Amino acid sequence: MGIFGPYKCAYCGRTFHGFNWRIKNGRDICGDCKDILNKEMPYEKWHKMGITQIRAYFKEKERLEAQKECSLCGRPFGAADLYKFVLKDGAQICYSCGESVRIVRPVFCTEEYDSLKEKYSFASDDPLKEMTLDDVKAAQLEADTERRSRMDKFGPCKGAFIVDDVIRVPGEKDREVHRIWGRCVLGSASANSLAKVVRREKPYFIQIDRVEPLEYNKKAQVLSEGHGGALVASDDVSFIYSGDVLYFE
Amino acid sequence: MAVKRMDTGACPICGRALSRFTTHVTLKDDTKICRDCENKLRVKYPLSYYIRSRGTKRYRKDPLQELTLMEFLAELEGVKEYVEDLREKYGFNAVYQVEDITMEPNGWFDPPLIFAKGRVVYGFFDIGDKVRVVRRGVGVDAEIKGINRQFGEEQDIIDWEHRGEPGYPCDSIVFSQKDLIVAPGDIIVK
Repeated sequence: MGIFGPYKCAYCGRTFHGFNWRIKNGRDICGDCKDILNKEMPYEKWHKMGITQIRAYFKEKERLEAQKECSLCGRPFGAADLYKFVLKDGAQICYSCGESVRIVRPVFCTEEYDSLKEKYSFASDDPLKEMTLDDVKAAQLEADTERRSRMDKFGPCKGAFIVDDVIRVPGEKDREVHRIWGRCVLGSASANSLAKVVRREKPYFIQIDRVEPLEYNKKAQVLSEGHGGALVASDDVSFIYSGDVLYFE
Repeated sequence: MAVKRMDTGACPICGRALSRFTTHVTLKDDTKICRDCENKLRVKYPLSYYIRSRGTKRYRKDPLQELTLMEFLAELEGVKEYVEDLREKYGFNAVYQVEDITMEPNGWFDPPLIFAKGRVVYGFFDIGDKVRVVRRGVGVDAEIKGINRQFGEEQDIIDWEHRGEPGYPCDSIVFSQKDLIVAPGDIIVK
């Protein structure tokens, strides 16, 4: 066998000449299959996989794509879904059904450190991945009860956001721009809206310019219940303290 | 293993990660709580450092360590009223109590640096904030040039690019402004 082949592609089975790409156990992959794999995942990941793992990956992907409807509400998956959640038992639920339990099953955000690359990166544990369809149904009932109790506590409002910290945005010297970090505990907090803080003497209002979520779609301009992030405001926010609740109406 | 998770569990109050990067308060019943929950009660239970006689090492005194988790939760319910009482008493959004002043020259052409040592009573202060220095009801406008913070048990201040937060010892707020006079007993407000 020369430098340029002939090789036999481990995935599609055809014999090819030219450049080959190696996967685990010294098996070769042709250029076309390499392009398909590169679309799915980075090279650093797929070149360490064996052919059995690669086939299993595509089989699972096919199975997931074959399901066109949410296992919980029956609604077809559409463009409105940010993405689908795949549960422990293989069932798939739509974004709305998954988000409906976030109030009681929020995403656990943390960091990871890779000592080989000497790099920190964001990591998250999604409790939905460890839940079955029955667990999600039970969690939805739990979420409804929790939502009702929070509505009694915070009153009727479109959203309630608990403040953790207020930090001035660096670099903005001529304008007072602040990031208000915290969690949305009820409803949603959206950009270009008015937030209210209730103080003893009177209510105060702040214009929220944009929203910076910690998880999921970082470009989304809405923070929904159970999620953490920052609200960016260019108003005076000196009357906001840790523990305050911002109401969106 | 190359990749390591940088949290040591979840906070029992809010459920968020306890990061390895920050020192967490351990309550009386050995419960660890996260920095965000701790900050909410710091205004009422501030940290302080003390030096034992004939020593140079500083020791940390944290009144939050005397509380159990149930007591902490009960205090959390009442801290908003505590802050509202402070706002009513002082009448401002944020207050820094000045306890001492030192000054340093700042070159031939610039006004001297004024280090206003004290503590944040409530509210937040950041570098660049436009504040008022108030003495007996009369205020002068000023801009914060820097904020020094005390960290850990080391006496040396590392640098002066920090924030003034309630409950954490703030070494000084720094001004550099012509004709500005700050004296012990003044309050810096927003």
